[in-house]
Amino acid sequence: MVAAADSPQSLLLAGYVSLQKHGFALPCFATKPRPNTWYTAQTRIEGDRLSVISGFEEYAAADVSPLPDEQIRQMAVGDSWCDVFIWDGKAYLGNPTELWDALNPAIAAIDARAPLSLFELSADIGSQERRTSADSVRRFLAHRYGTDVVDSWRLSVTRSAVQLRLRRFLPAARQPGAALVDVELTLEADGLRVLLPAHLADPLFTDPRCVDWNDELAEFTADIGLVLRKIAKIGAVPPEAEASRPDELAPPPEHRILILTAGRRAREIGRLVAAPAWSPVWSQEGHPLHLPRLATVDVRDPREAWRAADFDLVIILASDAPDEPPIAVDRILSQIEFGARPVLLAPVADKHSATPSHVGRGGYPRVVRGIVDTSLARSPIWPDGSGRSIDRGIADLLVGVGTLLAGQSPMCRALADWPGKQPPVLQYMTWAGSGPGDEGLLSEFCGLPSGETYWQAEFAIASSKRGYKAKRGICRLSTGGPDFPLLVNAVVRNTAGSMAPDERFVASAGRPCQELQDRRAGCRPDAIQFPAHQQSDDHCGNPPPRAVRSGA
Amino acid sequence: MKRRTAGTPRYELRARSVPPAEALPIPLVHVTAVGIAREILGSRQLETRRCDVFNHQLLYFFALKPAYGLKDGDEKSHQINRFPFAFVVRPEAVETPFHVYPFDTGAAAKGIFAAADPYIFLDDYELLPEHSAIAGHIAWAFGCSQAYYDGDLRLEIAQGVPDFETSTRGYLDVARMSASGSNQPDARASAIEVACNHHVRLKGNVLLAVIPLQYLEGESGQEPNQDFLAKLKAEDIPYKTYDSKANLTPNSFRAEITKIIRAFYEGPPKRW
Repeated sequence: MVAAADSPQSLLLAGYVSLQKHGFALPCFATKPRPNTWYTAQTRIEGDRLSVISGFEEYAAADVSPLPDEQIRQMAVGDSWCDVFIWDGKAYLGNPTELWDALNPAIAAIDARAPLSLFELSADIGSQERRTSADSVRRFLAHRYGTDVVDSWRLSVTRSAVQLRLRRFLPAARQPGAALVDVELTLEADGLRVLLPAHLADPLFTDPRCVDWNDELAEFTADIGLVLRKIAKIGAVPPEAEASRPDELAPPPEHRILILTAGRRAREIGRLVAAPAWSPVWSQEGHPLHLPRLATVDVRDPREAWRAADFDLVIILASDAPDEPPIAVDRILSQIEFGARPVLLAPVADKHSATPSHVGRGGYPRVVRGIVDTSLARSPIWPDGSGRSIDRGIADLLVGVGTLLAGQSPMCRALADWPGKQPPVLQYMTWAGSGPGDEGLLSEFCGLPSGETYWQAEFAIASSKRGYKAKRGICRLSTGGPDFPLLVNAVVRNTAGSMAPDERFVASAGRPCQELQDRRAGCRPDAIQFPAHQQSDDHCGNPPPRAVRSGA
Repeated sequence: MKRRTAGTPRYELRARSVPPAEALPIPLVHVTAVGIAREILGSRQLETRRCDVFNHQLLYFFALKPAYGLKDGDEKSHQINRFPFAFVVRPEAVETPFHVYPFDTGAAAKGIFAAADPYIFLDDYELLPEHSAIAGHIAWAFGCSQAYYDGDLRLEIAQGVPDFETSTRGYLDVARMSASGSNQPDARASAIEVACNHHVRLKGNVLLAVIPLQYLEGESGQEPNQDFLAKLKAEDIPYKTYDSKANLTPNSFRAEITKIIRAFYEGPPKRW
């Protein structure tokens, strides 16, 4: 809608019309604080909160709530769009970043009570915020209405996102007759397809920046849990010939990782999971893969609704502690179908223990395809962990393993070809590749007790994160694992000529040994229950992969 | 457009809108403001309101498609121009219409249709007050319901209409304002209006509700079983949502709602 030529050029943002008692409201403008006539503003790019005001239009509304005098502000054509967000009866004004900052103390409450509003608020903040709030929306809707409504919501916001990005990108899409309503989305079993009318698809597909557009949209859909499979022109491609026609964009395959946390410490670590800062460049491929998308779900939260079918890799991060009830891993595993995707188990010990977790000590169910060696995060040779907490290091390690398994990577293929009856242990390490100590770290990694190494490969690292130092890495699959007692002993500091335990890695001096003795005495029961393969052998004091070794 | 105060209406359109032999009843759409929708769900029925044009308590629908004004709102579209709420209703919910008109009488009475002949009275455009007249009018004026939905008149519709059939020609002038290629398309200009003089119970009669997306989260702090959607569920009303972003234009909302209802008629359910 175009504002009339004689419409005002400058007005006071003096009121709002709220759709509900919270969330975004319609900003209303006037010539004075208590007016008879109200106006609404249009943005140069419709629906874009980052756009500028292009004009004002009279608005015949009787239910405008006036803003307090101190919040009234002058707005003019050409100014940045200003939103009104209502929370706890108070109006907040500003652009997305200003609102996010102003509402920061209330973010947790908004997340709990109004996740859709928070998602809308986070949409222009950043991918991480958007992903987190999308997870909240997913849980909220699934809990209240079921997964069908989650899909409807995803399609609805994606449709708006496509339309907005078309308006931002194509001048033709901003014209009154652009018919953006003709944009269609179809949700198939393998992902989302976006169909564009020809008058939008043609200029988009021939624009050299099209790949960026595509990537940005793919990032958005990944953040809300959809895999963007294809963008095509309506009517140009018969379904059976889709793959061979040029009238489409096929985004790179998305790699979606689900991290299921079970146990108190696992939950704490799960909260630290963040998007990977790097991706591997395998010599075979020669180019970096796109970064995987992550979702972290607490298996004990009844609001959590997840489907393994929505992900390419599932990592179960399980922790055990003596004061926690046993975690029914078998129930988690029963929700994951066999064969379709790798399922990894990442056992982690109690926070103050230097001994390995008991998770999986009795053997691993067949559905588990690999064991992530989380103990590496405690190692002094773990470069990614320098200056970071051990929990954060474990979170990084999980994401790193997931990144290495993205797509049809060499490590993924090696895992698929794993010949053993018991799952392999997955380890990796990265280093800067330029310092004098790096080769030493590499030799230490290679020298870690690992049983029989079945497969090992080096890779280069690509990172868009400024200041990220790691340049190379090595990963492997082996029948063994870290010999944890040896590793604990290695975690020492050379203090005045004597070797003392390093508190960064070991909670307190002497405690690990005591714990080892406790375990040998059978003081701590296994906290994680598996449906089968319980073994009678006492492996206390020995690392869990010993059991693997015997079966492999 | 004025009401006739004397004489007999010409009813020329009734003769043109002969119902097809096996015409199926056509769903009706009621569009209202979200605030009023709350009251509707509270009372569990669509209620009649005082209509100043016809001096009756009436409840208004449009046949098949959502049509409402974006500006210059009348009683029926008052304040619905920002965040509308649409109900698709079974035709059986209105057993006998109070009246059927080939356009929005409220907009016509307000003089919104600039192309209308000022010398033709509103009453002259009235169709037969029965459901079959809807199908008959669509068949004559548009050829098919798809074209009616888009507001596209039959190309040769004016052929054979004599000049003296003034109300038919007057209707064509008005209806052309809604064509999809028009400079100022106004869906109300060719949306068939159906009015009834009784309330319509929600349960069993509403086929679909189209609501703002934000309503999925309910009012802050509200119990899940008390919120808007819970009430829809209690009335067995399925719903679809449209994005209700504040800085989208009313045109966008209307286009989305129109598309959603069209998709509802057409299916398949996976297409949004």
